[in-house]
Amino acid sequence: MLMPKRVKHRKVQRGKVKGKATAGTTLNFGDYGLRALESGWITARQIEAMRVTTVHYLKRMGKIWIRIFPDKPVSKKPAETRMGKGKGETGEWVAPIKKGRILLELEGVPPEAAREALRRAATKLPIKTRFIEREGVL
Amino acid sequence: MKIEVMKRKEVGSNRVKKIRREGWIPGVIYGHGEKSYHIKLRDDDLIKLIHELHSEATLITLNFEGKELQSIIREVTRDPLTEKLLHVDFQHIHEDEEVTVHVIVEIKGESLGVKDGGILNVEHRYLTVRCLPKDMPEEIVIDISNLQIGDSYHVSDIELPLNVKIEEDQTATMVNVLSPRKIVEVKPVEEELLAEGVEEPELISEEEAEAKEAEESKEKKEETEE
Repeated sequence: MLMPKRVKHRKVQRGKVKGKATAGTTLNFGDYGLRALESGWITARQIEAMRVTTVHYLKRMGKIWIRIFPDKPVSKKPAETRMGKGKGETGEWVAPIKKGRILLELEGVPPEAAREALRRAATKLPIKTRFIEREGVL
Repeated sequence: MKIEVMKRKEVGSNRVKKIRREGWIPGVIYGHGEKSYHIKLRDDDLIKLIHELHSEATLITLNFEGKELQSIIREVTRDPLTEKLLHVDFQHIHEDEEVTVHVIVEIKGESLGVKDGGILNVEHRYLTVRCLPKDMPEEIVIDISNLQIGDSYHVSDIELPLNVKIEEDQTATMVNVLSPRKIVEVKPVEEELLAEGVEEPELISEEEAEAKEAEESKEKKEETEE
């Protein structure tokens, strides 16, 4: 699963995901992509599930780019623990996603296969998404 | 291609939002050593123009305050969600001055490698070229029909007129044909995910502290040796 190698702070505050994405909103590598239509957190497990599903459906054909990275630690208290005694340890890593962000890109596969692969990938995510393809020059 | 543009007095996000609601698209015209102007144009006209454009390197004649300006579209801003046009940048170009433009690369033919099951990998979809406006190529066509699996088409293989200079690294790969990957049994997602635990990443501050300590101990050693 994806996670940072080094971090500046072991635990961070939760924060809010406000507004639309300004970076990572265009297809930069592949011909097809998956665009987030809602804001939210995507966990490292969900990213991995999305990747495995796509690779599996395409039978390792084509090329995949994951355009997001889970760099935010989310802490979790152990089960059956009383409240207090400080903040819990890092349980998972998430990528805060703003709407409009491209999550995944694909290349080297027929359009119908790309559409189906990304539809399957989207079922692993907690947010609404849209399939997009490269068209036009500008 | 011709398009009518008007001078724009509405500046600032609120006023610009208002003109967008009225069917205008805000933009700007700039050129080398010239004053820039805020402009607006009808959204239908711009959508039609962009639809017809084959490449960014296409000369567009702007009808602006009774003058005809030769220009190219430098940038188009779209809404990331709705993909509606938000803003357009035109660059006024001079006939005798070289310009740097991104030209679209058109891939022609089906390579032999792809027919044998290889994967076509496109590294560059655009090429940056520098030339006079009259020599601007609308597209660069590359023929890949002879590419076998493992072969590459490099920037140096592209044939262009002498007065068009390519601003990219000559050894860069444009297109290559990768060998097909073997189908390997993919582990079920849950199993794979459970197998890996969450590890702790290193803290940058700790690393720095360790480095400092190491440096200090070195200095101490040197002092004692002296």
